[in-house]
Amino acid sequence: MIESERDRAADQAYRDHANDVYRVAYGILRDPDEALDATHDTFARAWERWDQYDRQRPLRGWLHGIVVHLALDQLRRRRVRRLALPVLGRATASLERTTEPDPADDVTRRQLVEAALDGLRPEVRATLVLRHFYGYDYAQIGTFLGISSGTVGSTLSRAHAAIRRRLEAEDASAPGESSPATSPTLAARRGTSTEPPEVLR
Amino acid sequence: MTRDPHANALDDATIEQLVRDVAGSWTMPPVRLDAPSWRDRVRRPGARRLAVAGGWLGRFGQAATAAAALTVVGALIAVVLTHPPTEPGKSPQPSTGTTPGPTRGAQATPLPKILLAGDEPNPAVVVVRTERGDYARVDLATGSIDGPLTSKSSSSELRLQGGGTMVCLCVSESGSIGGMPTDNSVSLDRYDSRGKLTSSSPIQSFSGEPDPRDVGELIPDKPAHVLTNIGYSPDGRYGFVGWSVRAHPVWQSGIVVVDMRDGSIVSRLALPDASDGEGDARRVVTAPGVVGSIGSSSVAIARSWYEWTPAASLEPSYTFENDVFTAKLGNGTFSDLAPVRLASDCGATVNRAGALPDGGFWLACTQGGAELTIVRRLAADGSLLGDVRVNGGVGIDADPTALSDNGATLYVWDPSGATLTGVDLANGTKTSGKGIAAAGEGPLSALGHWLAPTAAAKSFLRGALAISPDGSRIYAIGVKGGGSSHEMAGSTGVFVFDAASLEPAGVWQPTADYVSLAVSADGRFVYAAGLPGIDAAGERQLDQQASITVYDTTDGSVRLIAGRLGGDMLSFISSALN
Repeated sequence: MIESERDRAADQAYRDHANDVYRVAYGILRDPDEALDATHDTFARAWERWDQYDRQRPLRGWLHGIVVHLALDQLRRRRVRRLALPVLGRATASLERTTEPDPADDVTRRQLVEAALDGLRPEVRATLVLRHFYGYDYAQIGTFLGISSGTVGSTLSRAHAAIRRRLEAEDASAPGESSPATSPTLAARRGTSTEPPEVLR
Repeated sequence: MTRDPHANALDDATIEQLVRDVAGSWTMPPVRLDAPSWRDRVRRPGARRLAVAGGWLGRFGQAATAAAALTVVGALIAVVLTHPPTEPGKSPQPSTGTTPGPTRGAQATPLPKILLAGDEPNPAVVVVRTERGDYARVDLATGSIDGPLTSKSSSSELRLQGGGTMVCLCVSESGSIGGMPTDNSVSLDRYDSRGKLTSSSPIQSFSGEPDPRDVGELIPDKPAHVLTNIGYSPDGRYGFVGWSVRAHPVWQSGIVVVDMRDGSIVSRLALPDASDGEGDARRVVTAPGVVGSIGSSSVAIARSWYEWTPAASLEPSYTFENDVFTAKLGNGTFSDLAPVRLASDCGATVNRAGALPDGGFWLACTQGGAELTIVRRLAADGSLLGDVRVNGGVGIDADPTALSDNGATLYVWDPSGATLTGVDLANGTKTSGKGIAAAGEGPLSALGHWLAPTAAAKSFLRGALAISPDGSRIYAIGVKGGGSSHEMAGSTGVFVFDAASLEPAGVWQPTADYVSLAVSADGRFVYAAGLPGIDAAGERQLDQQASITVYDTTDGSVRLIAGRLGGDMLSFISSALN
């Protein structure tokens, strides 16, 4: 492919799929600026490797394969820095308190799901987005992440359980739905960003 | 987004829809016109051709031809050891701050896939641990890396055997509560020299339960429910499977001894139960492990624990301590288990233990990784002989210790201060040697920024020290930065010390940000593994993959670079490569 054709194809790919690439990057990185960074890097790497793209396969999947690798690598660099703490192996979370959430139920639930996703490992978040938003099969996701199809399935199962527990725990502690298991601490955190520290391992 | 408020439980379909709804809201923000776009990040053909030719050639300028540059590089690559700036017979002076810093100029290109200056080093195939906790074979002759070997948990431990075969007490995790597994299954897996699984035999499974006090509670610490700790006897005859499981209100723990010849269980040792935390405190007790031989047929066993309070606090207070026991070990069977009363405040981690000449023993404990090492010497009657404290760099997660072959000296390395301390274990005295700084403008730095010290953050080392097989030299990875800084600033290279005098013998400039070090069985070569994702100038370089650089110990020249070993950090499984 001559360079002008490659330029045109890459430009078209960017127009068509930049948001799809960004979504997966954000799912992994959870930071808009870093996700944007990874998105641009993805298209730069794609341009360089354009000859390796198998045109019999969907372009979006190829781009997702690149962005998963880049974003996880980017995140790894971030984790390396976070490990440089006096108390090694323990994250000292710096949590941002946000304003009270919108009382509308779906908005609250969306925030809870976002918080639950924050508590999952980046690879798990990527698996959820790739499976549930984009519908990739387990084998394809396994290829993206370098894991087996079986691991993809068990990862999804455990991720669902984690989200379910998080939502049900919050439901149980909601006003008017008192539960013996409700703790003052948990109730006090309702309406705040409860990002748990990233597990560093 | 809607839901049925009366639903009793969230089914999978609902969760999938929730994820779709949330992910659908993640849309790309507007891109500033003056911000670098993907086009600005593309390496144009000229640069890429140079990268293919060796990457670092770009530093000579695009006008230079690849052939001419290779000739120059070939001459320069035979870099010599930088000799200490001291007169013979005098103690070396501390560095005066001439440790090379980040260099100026254009961004570096990635390391080459393979660069060989002379014959292949021996060994040319090494087994490494990957960042994900698995293992892989690296063929340095081709600069290639195989896929993961075990696909098991990072708790697994692989051991090399004769003929290149491998054996692994591998751990598989299952179940999940609070994001942590509830079951660990240990198997004895055997691999041929090409990494193919030839057999797998189950050993034992362990199950832990969540803390019933925290049902429905968000515990930010995400405590484990079950843990394992795998080790081997020095001769490889026995495998030690340390385990701990929560069974509220205690943690149960012990060690299973496995005969590695046939996978049979030789014996089981149960340690005393430990509390899982009183009141609003929560405690995780890690799986015990054998940390050293402390005399004829006796070993030291360490079991560390950490506790935090309040349990659900986002910023709890942590306590790190350990329990140490002694036991007799004969024919794979433990007996006469006894607690060591004076070990609890030694440090967060007990890394090593060994015998003292008078029948006592010593423990090497670390606090904060390399930040503080305490060598505690105990008499045969259990009384304290004394502590030797060695300070190191802050924020470096590493075991900074290595034991001399005769067991008489414990070496403690400060990676950021480039200081090596030798502790005479018999009498508790210590001596130190300060590593010399690398030449900032030596022949290697002229080659390009990938050969210059990096300036990127790095905070852990997996194999910071290696001792030559004859015990005469010590090699250590230096880290730039330290002090009160939590952001490490890259590698300062491989420091070389005379083991007897602790005087510096030189420093080899880094080709990457090193995290792991090993020496060949014949002592001829030192292998250094570099981080991926960072270029030589310390800038984020996504195309820079993990690397292994091999130095010829006779003159410190770079014998080989394998620079395209994937995106996972690699580390050597032993400081001695067979």
